[in-house]
Amino acid sequence: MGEWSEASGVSSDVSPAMRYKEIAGLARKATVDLQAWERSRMAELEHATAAAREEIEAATDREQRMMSQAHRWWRMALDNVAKLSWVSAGLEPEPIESARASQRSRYTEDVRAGYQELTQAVLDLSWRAR
Amino acid sequence: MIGKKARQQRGRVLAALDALRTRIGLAMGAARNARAEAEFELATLELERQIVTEGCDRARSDPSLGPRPGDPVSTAVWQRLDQVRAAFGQEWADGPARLRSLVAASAPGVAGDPPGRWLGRVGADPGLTAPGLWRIGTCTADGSDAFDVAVPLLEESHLSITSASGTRHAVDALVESLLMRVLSTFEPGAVRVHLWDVGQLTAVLPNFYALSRTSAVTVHDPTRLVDLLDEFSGHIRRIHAEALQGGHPSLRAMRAAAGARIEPWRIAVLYGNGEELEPERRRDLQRVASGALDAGIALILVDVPTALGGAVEAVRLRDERTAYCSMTGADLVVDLDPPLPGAQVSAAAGAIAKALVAKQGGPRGFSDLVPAELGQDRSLDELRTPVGFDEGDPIDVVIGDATPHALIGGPSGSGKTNFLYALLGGLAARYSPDELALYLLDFKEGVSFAGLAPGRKDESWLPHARLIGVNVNTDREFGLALLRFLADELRRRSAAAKDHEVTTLAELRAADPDGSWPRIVAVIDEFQYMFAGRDSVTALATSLLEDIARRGRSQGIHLVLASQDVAGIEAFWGKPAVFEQCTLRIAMPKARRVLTEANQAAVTAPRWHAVINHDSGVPHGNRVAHVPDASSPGVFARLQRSLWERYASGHGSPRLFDGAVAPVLTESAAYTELAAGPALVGQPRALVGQAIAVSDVAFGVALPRAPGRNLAVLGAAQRPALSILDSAARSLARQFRQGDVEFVACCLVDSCAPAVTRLAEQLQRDGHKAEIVPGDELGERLAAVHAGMGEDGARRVLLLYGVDAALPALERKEPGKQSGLDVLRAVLKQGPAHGVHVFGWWRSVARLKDTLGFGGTEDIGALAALDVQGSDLGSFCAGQVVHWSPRPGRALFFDRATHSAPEVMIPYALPEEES
Repeated sequence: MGEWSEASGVSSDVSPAMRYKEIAGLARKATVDLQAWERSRMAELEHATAAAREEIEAATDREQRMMSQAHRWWRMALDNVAKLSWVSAGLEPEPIESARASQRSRYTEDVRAGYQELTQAVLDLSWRAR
Repeated sequence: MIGKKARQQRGRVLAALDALRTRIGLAMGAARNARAEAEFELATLELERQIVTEGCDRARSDPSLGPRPGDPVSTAVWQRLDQVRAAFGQEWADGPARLRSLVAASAPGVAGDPPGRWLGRVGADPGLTAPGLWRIGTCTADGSDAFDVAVPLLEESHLSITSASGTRHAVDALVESLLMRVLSTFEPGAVRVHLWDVGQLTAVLPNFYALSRTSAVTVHDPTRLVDLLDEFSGHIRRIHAEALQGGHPSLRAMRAAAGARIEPWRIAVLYGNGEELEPERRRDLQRVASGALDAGIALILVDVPTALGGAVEAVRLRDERTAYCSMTGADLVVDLDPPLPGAQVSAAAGAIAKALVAKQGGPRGFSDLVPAELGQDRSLDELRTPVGFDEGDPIDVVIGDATPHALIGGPSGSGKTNFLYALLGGLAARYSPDELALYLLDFKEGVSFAGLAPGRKDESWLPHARLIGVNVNTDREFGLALLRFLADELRRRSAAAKDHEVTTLAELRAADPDGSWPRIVAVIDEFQYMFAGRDSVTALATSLLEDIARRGRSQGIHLVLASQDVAGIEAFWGKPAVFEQCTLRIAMPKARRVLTEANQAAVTAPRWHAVINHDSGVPHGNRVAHVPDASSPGVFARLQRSLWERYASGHGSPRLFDGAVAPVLTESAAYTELAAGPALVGQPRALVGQAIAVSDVAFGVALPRAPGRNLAVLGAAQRPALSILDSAARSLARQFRQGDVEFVACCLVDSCAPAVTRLAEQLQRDGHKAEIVPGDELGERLAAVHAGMGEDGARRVLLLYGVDAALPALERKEPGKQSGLDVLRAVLKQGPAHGVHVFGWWRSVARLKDTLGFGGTEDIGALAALDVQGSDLGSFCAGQVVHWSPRPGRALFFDRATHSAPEVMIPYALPEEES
């Protein structure tokens, strides 16, 4: 090879044109790889979307059940305190924004425990306190 | 009032209720949030699916799918996709930078710089190597930085450009820009561009008009693609052959080894119309393409859909400004560089054309063939010299292993002699006389080589010349003599090579460094004269020529044969060997048959040009060179004078053989070497004339005291007869001391009397006894000589002029006495043994026969025949069939004591003719 390639520091058996194509090929490789990923991702997304739709259904269902359950719990709690003239029922419980969806079952457990705490507190009332 | 305890109990209930409310709120909130999250997830998945389906690159620029700041779904999706892309593009991340530096290194200067920096400047690169890449535009991949797009060209790759509708201007701009970069990179003359457009006669790349008037750009006839391809295949084969001969795989290797460009870079731009070429042209094109790159030839095909073998890069235009390129791949769009400003291209082309014309320096002269320093080359392997110029580039003639012999053809006035002078001048200027010896023979009736020998006007001579033969058109024997000499030299060299156990001249010179083994070049102009007759000369010359042509190569003996028409040489019909060995062919304009039948280059060669072909005349070997004027008065003489001043002291003057000039006895080596007096050893010799030979050799009659040692001159021509007897007498006299020889002359031809008297006086002046006997006293004098034979042992030479005129008188017989004729016969028969020799001139063969009588032919041991017929001479030439017819100034000489066959001789000039 002549002086040109020596100046470019390319090894003597690879012409600048080959070297150029090799480097430019990396751009093409990135594009091709991305396109391949896109194709495989499309199939993945088909499944994922379907699963997400089901998940929404389930979540909506769970939400509705939770709402009615919450309502029942609150009614039961109000029943417990209905005979206590000094208890004002106050506001109905409202969904709290900051609640974490992932903590749903713990919250449910907490409701159960809270109800028991309430019934126990009512039972613990002396006649004077009633 | 309730007590403290009851208050506490109540407080616990209230707190538990509040806590329960909160916990129920949290449970409700969690359920709601879970649903919301599921909905968000679906939204992102759906958006992602849309983006992926569209393709990330396209979706990014789609307003409905592209990133929307503030939209959490969009933000989340694009964030994720960007991460994916970044992961894939990691390898390519520094790609643009690497490509930029690669292009900067491989397309340096003009090859890659913006045109503002170079357009209009004339290149200076000598062109030993070419840049690996040439810039055409820029490109961006996936929003990364832009990088330069460049294509290989010249020895790297061909280029195929495909236009889109309405993009012809863009294609032209691309081609123009590439060509301009190439033309501006190298020095003027280093690149030749050939343009061919199937659809246009002339206006291909009009901005190059100025260059099209030089050799840098040639526009070809749209109907004659075949000529262009033929020309290119010729170049490829020639360059390939030259490279292989030099042991190089390609022109590139040859250039590297030689440190010179050797050949210009060539680019052919072929504009097609998108249709496939006709099958034959397609095959031609593919053939050319496959071998072109190694020969420094690149093709740029525009809309020629032929698939080429070998390296081809492609540019496919999308529109006026953008294209796809095989260098970057089909998915990257290249932004082509903007077209060069037309006016500036025209101006730049004009500047390059002007520089090219200036560089070529107009017509080259003879002095351009002469190197700066004389005699620096060695002829070990070959002889090489430029003989002319092609667009300012010297064109070499090589006489060596592959081209041992040359055949030069051209009609009268085509410049053959001028070419020979250019060749001889170039060679003599490069090689010293120890490296090169010239033997020059011209059968023309001219004196074309005479100036190379010392003359009256110019004392200098060409020190390389050993022999110069001019005006030999009637002396075919001289050509034969030269061939004999060369054959002898060939044998001498072969023997020496054998002694040193080597095979070639180079090896011989290495093995015998002290020996004198110059390469010999024998130039025979109008050599066909040598084969003009159907005789023994032709037969012998043919076989000698074949032998030298076959074997001369390895011994450094080279023939340069020049002729007006080689086809007419009957002797070579059916014997192509001689011509086949002449692989170097030089055809002057209009020369016929020197090149192969299909090679018409000589027909179109202009005046003062020569087609130089080192490939036995096949078209691809053609190099057309302008041969400078080497033969005008004074042109060659100047070089000759320098060479003479340099070498003459160590090298003698050449032997000049001029067939039109009679040799002078006193100047001949044979005469000056004749020893006189006591130094005489062996037998005296009477010199009768000069032999037609390479060296200065004379024919002589040895005169021992033995029977038959008489000389007869036959024929009516007076001058040569006088000359022969004159030189015989004078040369003989030189060998004897005063008084040891006696001359008796008798002149029976009145017109010869003054010459005879002059000879007698000359002999007397030299101190010898010389008397002139009147014709009527000849009989008596002969009787006296006869009677005195053997008495005093003295040498006597009878010089009888016109013996036939004396016969009537001699034949008279008186009773009881021998007739004069009988006495003459007795003297002829018995005299030589007693030292009495007759040098007689008979004006007809029949009169000699009358003189000798029956069976006396053996008494004439030597004869010189003048204007007589060879058929009459058989009995005097040992019964041979003698081919001889009268030739002015020539004689046929036969000495039965030394010759196997008669030989042609040149009588010396008479003393009054000597100047």
